[in-house]
Amino acid sequence: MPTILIADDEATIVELVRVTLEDERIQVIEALDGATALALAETHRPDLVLLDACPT
Amino acid sequence: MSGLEVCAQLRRDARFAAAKIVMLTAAAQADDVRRGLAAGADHYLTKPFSPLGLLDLIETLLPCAIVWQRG
Repeated sequence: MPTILIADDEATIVELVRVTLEDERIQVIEALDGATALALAETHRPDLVLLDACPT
Repeated sequence: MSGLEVCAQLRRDARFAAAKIVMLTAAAQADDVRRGLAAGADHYLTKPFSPLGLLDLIETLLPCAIVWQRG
């Protein structure tokens, strides 16, 4: 199963991405800030990373 | 830490060399697109985006990721 990391401080964006991708059987890892995104990337080794340009 | 900084850090780390990176940016922030691509992003997606637009992009970047179950 492919893994995608989404990092965005907007909860609505994270929710939209999660619902959309989980319907396609893609594992979604969520981060609300950049530091968490880096930590989760280390742990989960995502195939693709979606990054908000300016998360808080 | 901004998404641009995260992108740059991932690109400096060989363990993530195969990972695709997509920047999400508001339409008005054209400079973010340029900086994101310069930082090593593979593509960008402009907010607001549609679920189908997101899936199309993922299918392009990860050809084997999506198993279409429709129709």
